[in-house]
Amino acid sequence: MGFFGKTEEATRPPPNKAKRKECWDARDKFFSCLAANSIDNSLDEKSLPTVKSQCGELKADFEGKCVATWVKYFQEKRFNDLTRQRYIEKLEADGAQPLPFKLDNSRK
Amino acid sequence: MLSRIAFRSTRKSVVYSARSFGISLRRFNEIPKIPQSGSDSSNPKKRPLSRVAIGSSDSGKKYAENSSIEFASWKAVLLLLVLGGGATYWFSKEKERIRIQKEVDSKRSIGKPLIGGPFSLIDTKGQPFTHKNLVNDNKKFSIIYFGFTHCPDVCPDELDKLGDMLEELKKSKIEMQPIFITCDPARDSPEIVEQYLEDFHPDIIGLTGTYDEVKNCCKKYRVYFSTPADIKPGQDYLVDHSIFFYVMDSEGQFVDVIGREATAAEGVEKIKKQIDAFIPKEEREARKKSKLSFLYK
Repeated sequence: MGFFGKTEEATRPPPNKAKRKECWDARDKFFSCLAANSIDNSLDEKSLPTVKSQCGELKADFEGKCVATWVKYFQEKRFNDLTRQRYIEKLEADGAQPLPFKLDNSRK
Repeated sequence: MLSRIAFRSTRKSVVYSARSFGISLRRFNEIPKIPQSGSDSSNPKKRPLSRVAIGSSDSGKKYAENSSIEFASWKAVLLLLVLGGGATYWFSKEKERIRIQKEVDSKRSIGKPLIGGPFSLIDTKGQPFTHKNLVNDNKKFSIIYFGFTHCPDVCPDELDKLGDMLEELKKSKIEMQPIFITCDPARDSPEIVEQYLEDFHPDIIGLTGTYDEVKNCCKKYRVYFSTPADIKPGQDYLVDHSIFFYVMDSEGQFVDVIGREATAAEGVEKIKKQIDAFIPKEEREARKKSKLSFLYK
C-alpha cells in the first residue's frame, strides 16, 4: 500500500485494494436490496423496472464505484450462484446426497 | 522408562548379591531351602538362619513389588500405549511420505513433465525471470499463481489466501518463492503488476511478458485463459482463466496443485507434506543404485 505513482497510460490502472473494497461494499448493499425484493436476475429486462424503483439509488452507487465490466460480472455471477444454489437445494430435497469428499481443483 | 525399571531392578539385585548369594538364590527360586554349603564356607560368621530371617523380612517386600506383577502394572500399560501409539503415528506418517514420493516420482519418470517447463518472462523490475529461477539448493519451493490485475473478486481473494499461507509457513520456518504470473499481458505492464501486488504479501514476485511469452508459459502450465476478441485500445474487459496454485519443488518440477476450494490451512498442510517428502536428485539416484532400493519401490 502507500503511494501510488499514477503514470500516463493508454489503459486505466486496475482498482487497488481500497477501490476494490469500496466496490464490494456497494455491491453487497445493492445485492441485499435485491434479495429483500426477491429479484434474482437484476440484468433481466423484465426485472429492470423493479430494480430501478426499489434499489435505484444503490444500483447507481454500485455502478459508480465499480468498473463497468465488474458491474456486469457480479450481477451475472449472483444470478448463476443463485440458480446453482436453488438446484442444489432441489436435489437435496429430492434426496440426493452430497459427495462424501471435497471436490478440489474445481474451476471458476 | 523401560531402562529405568531395568536399572532399578539391577540396582536391587546388586544389593542382594552383596548380602549373600545363598539368600538371593533362594529368593529367586522361591523355595525355602538351606543355603548351599559352598556359599556357607565363604561366609565367615556361619549364621545362616538369623541372616535369612533378617534378609527375608527386609527385602521380601521389595521382591514382591519387583516381581512379574510389575509387567502388568499401569506403568507397563502406559509404556505400551505410548510406544505403540508413537510407532503407529510414525509409520502412518512415513507411509504417507513414501506415497507422496512415489507420486512425485511417477510424474518425474514420464520424462517430460505434464505441467511446467521452460518459460521466459520479466519481473516487475524488468529483470528476466525464467524456469531456472525456480531451481535452488535451499529446498526452497515455489508457488505459482496465474491471474490478472483487473480481476474482480477471485484473484484478490486467492492472493490474500496466498499471503495467509506464506505467513503460516513462515511460522514453521518454511520460506517459499511466491510468483504471480499475469494472463493479461496487454494491460499488465511490469509497473501495473508492481502496483497491484503492493496490496498483497511483499514476497510475491510479479511476472509479465509479451503476449507470446505469457501464452507459452500458460500453455506449459496448462492454464486456460481467454481474452475477448476485438478489444479496442483502452476498453475494459475481463479475462477468463483457470484458478490453481502450482507448487513447484526446488528443482523446478511440478509437485502439486492447490485449488480454489482449499482453505489456506489445507494449502499449508499440502505444501508442508510435499516439502517433507522431497528428496534431492542426488539422493534419489543414490537410492536407486543402493541395495536397499527395493524398500522404496
